[in-house]
Amino acid sequence: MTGATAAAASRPAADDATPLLRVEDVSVRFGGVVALDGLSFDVPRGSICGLIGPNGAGKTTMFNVVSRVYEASSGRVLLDGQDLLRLPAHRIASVGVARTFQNIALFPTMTVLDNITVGAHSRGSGGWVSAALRLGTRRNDAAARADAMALLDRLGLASLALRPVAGLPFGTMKRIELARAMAARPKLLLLDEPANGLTHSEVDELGSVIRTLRDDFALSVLLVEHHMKMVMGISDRVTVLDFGRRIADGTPAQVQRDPAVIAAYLGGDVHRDGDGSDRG
Amino acid sequence: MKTRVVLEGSRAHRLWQGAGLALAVLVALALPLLSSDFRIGQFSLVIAYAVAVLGLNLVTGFTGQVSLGHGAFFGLGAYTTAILVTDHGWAWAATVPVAALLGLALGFVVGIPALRLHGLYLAVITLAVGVAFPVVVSQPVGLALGTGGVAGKTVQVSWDKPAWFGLDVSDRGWTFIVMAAIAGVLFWLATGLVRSRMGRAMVALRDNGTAAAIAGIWPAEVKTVAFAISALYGAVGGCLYLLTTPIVSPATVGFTITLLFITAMVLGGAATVSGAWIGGIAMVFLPYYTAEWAGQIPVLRELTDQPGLFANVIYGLILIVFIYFVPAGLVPLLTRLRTRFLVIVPPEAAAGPTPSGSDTTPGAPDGGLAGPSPAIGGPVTAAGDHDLSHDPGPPARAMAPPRGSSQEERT
Repeated sequence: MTGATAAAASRPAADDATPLLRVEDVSVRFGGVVALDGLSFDVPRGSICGLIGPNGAGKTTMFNVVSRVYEASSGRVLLDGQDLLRLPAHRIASVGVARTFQNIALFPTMTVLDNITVGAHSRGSGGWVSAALRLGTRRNDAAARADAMALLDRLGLASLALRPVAGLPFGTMKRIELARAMAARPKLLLLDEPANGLTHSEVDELGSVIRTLRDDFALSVLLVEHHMKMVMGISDRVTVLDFGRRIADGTPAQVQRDPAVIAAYLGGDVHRDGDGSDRG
Repeated sequence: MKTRVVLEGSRAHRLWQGAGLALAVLVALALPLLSSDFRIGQFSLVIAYAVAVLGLNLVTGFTGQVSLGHGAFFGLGAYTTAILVTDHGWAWAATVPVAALLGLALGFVVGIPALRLHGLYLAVITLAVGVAFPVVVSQPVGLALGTGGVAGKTVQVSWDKPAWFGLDVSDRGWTFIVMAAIAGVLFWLATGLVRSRMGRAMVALRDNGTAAAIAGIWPAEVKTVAFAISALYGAVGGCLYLLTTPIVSPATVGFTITLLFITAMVLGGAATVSGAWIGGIAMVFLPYYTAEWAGQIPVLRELTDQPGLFANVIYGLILIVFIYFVPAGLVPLLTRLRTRFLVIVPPEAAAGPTPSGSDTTPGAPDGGLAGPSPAIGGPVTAAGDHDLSHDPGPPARAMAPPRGSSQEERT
């Protein structure tokens, strides 16, 4: 791979099991700008993987590729061997991918509870005709709501269930997004800066919430986060991006020692191939 | 007054619903008994318009897709019925399914541009449909189909009150009751739709399209189906219209009526089902009374010998004042007032604090249902006092294990 560093070469041997998510040589171009440049990495089953890098490194772009918001120019994204890039965005949830958004993307006019039940849309049944004729909808809706309430309860949001989302505090909305993503019962949960805008104690709390959710729901988590203490604290593996490329990959301890990573964050002059000067 | 909390689906909730239904039936039967045939005609027109406005509520209010072509759907229904009844001798009732299916098909086709276009661009496409329809029916193409051209198509549908019907109503009154029953079914279907999984999908798509798609909602499906259903309601509204008026002409189904549908939707409340009734009432009675009022304003009478011309100015003023003070529409306002004394809550959301077995509980069972709640006022309190990592939750609602147990919903 171009631009591979010593750290990338030192990544630990692959697990016995195939990884849940395998990103293979993904590139994304917006006009002349190369947002992702041949990026590859794995998310092992049941792990929490951090995706870090300076601003503009391509982390959120990567998220948007996996969740099919952006179109990749080339490459494959395999979830359990299935290429996600061949699926439309609305099929992603049903194969087991859910995500949160960096800037809140809730349904503001709906109640908190309804936001969560929409999150379970892909698991629900009942189309247009049965809805209008109320065929079995009562039971399905009751089950969906009960499930949503259990999630809200778990995340400490139960008392807000019947509130409209609009006007709730930012940190609360982030948590509602997490609940909505969990309502889809994903295999892979993509969290885009979940700690953004939270207080110190809330960040600690969030870290343990993510771990518990991972354990209880057999999740794998891909986490984009700037809050280093949290990423390093809860991640099993960390992948570091810079200029749309992977510059390091490994355990938090390995990554933190990596000279390329230190250089990327502190602006040192470690050699980097094809170093662009157009970073925004 | 204390707020009553009623659980959805509980006995108390059913009682409230039953009372509402009984009241509606009572009104539908009392109006033709107590009113003149002229008034009954107006009330019948309210029904026809309300059904059409409901269609607009579904696609624009709930799904957020601008539709400036609703007059065309209304016209499609009216012309289909008029042609089949007058030229082919069909019974009115037999034409309704045909008109409904044609509306469904046209709505679906008009919905296809909505897959790519949003906001103004979509508005322009639907506007083209709305503007083209009255032109098409008055051109040779339309004439060949039997539209009657610019003069319009006359149609005679008149029903005699059947002997078995016990109430002493006129034939017009009987027609009104039948129309009310049809509208009742259509409103019942729409209510079921908007409260369902698909209804939530419609609103989710309106609120945030990207997040809706990520949640598994197929935007193309929801948009086109919403347009199709909307057009179906518009077309059936057109069929009902012919029970009140013996002619349909290009002027009836022009762009003016589309705009009236939109104002009616906004007056009642865009994302509501029952708001369509308010809209229908406004469409029929507001112009009627503004015309009357205009004739009574002394200053106007001295200025002109045609004070009726100012009816539209008064109409506009009323609309402006209304939109200024009640921007969300009348039904959301009434709903807010209602929640001061009656809150309807899904049982799951109140499961914890509500003692089982009781249908109603006085006062809000937990914060967030009604009234100010200390848990929400402060900054970032949602994180609050809950220790997330160690909060097991009540056992009854304990989380299901990851995959599998949630599958019951699928089967």
